[in-house]
Amino acid sequence: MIRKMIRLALWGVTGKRREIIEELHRLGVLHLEQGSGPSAGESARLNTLRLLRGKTLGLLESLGWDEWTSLSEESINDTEKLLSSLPADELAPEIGKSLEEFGKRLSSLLDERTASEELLLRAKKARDILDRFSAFFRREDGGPQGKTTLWLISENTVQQALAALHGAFSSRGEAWDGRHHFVPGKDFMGVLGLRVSPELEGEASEILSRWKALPWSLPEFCSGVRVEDALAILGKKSETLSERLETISGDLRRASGEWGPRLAALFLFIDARTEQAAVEARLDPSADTFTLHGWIPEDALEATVSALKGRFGDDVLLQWRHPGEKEWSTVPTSLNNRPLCAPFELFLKLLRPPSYSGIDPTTAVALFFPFFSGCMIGDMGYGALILLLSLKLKKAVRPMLRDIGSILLSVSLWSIVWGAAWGEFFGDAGHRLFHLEPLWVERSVSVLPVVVFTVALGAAHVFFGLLLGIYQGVRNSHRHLWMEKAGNLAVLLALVAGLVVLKAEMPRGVFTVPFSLLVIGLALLIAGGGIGGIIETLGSIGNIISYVRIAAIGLSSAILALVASKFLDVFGLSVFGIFLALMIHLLNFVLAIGGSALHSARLHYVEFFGKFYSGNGKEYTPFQRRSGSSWKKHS
Amino acid sequence: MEKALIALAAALAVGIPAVATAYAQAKIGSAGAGTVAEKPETGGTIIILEAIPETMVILGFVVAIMLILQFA
Repeated sequence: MIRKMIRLALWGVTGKRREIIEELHRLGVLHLEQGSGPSAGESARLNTLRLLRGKTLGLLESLGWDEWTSLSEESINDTEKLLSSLPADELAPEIGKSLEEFGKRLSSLLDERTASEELLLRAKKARDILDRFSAFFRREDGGPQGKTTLWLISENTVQQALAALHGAFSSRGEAWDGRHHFVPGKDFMGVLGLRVSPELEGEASEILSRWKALPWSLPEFCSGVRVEDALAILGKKSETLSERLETISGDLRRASGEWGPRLAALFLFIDARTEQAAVEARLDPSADTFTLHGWIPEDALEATVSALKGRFGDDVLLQWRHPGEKEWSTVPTSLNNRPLCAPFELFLKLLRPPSYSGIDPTTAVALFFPFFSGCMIGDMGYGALILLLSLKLKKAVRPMLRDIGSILLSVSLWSIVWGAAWGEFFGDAGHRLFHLEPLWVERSVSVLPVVVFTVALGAAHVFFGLLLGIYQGVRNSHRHLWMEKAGNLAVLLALVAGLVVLKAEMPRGVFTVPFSLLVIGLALLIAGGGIGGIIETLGSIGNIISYVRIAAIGLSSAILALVASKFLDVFGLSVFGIFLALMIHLLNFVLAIGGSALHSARLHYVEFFGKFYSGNGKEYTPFQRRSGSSWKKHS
Repeated sequence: MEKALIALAAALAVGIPAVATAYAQAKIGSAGAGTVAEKPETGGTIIILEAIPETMVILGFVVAIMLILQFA
């Protein structure tokens, strides 16, 4: 249900504004309304805090720490208590100094890691190249004296370059026996190893340069070393660098484990101070008093007023009132549902919140969603597995996973109930093993009763949606809205009544009832929504038929489970047969969970919500400390 | 022969809308993925849009069931 909101106005003494804002932030219930822009003087403090917030976040990212969900309230409160004890003027410089010192230490480690990684990469590349020349080096070591050089050269020109070398030396009558080795690489480039006597070295370089070859050199730490001897040095260096990198990674992991939570708590503290400073910046510091106003849930009003009055006494003046009808569009929407239904609020998070004067459909979703999903899955075995999965998820740290666990728990219970109705336990395994019989029908055989049932279910769901639409229209005095919904409902009821009269072969006189309903419905439709209203009614008929998907998906799930058993019939109780049957069941189980959830959600979003839901509300965002990683969305 | 024709008709009643649904969902899905990447808050709307063409194949299924039950 939607919480009732109260408009709260607060007047305070300017000298106490910072403390009052801090208290409001601590209480965390007031949805503040934006005032004027920041004043120049206060912006300086705000900018300093923003800078510190950015620095802290930067350090956290450098540390690679992202375990916001594991951050305990206790460590956040301890940090807040410790830092709040510092005088306000010293707070920002002290934090800034500490962050700078930590940042320097962290930077030196990160810089060393980057440099070591680069060197290791270069050493690895050089080793890869030299490895491919090792046979050439061994062969040449036993030959005549000379120097080996390596050149980067295009594969297309290497033969021409070698021919040029040969031609140049042989034309002068000097002997060059063509000692070389070429290793092709990427992008038509390769490395040419050349062994020439010291006298010919200069000329060889000149010729190769003409053919656009570039000399290949060893990394800096191998300077002065012959390429033939570099392989061993590179191997040793790679080992040293790998060890150093492991040490650095260990240091960083330790630093992340030790300092990550502290920095995160510090970040949340600075973030809170920044938010408070942003509110403070909008107030006029030269005036004697300041004003803040916003919305507060009615159930939190008493505690808030007594907390503010208790701490500040006559330094604050509070006034409150209920919102007027004209203000309803500006009131933020806060949902408050019973613990059983609250997890289903997750479905509304994908949409804009309902308007303050609208209807919160969470309870209806909590009733219908597991019912529909369970009807589609309809297998006691799968239901039991989903139950185990949901119990596991309910113990998760992340609140969203716990909510999903609660939703799956309801789905699993309905799956077991529907499994008993269809007589399914891992398909027909229940029937084969314990002679399990359906309480209602076997859906893989008797399709028609299930189809009729799902259409009836759809009609009930759509009618309920239309009733909610009528209620909303009447409550908000939207004449056109309730007339259109009532007309829509009357026409649909007329069609259903007509079908019943026809099927039951009732006397012709009874047709007056559906006919009258049709006339009233059409009149209301045209008065409420004009021609568009009639089109919407046609859409509603389509909406009702759309619920046949519950039968269709259920049927496909039941048949897939039967296919799994058929494998055992074909292959017998062999390892292969059992393996195939398990694989089909696994596939069916995944499809059952995913498909049933998606289609049930669709039936709610499109068919049900379409009849009454107006997602044009404002989200209730109380002025409070942001928890977990919610800052990511806002900062 | 008659049964085979009925089975073929039922298969076509589901198959053709299934192809049409797949085509529509592919188009909506690719556009939706781009939209969600730009604006994650549109996720809910995209799921709704993605699910709308499925009605075609559901109606095809109803027709197929009717064909089988009426004539087979």
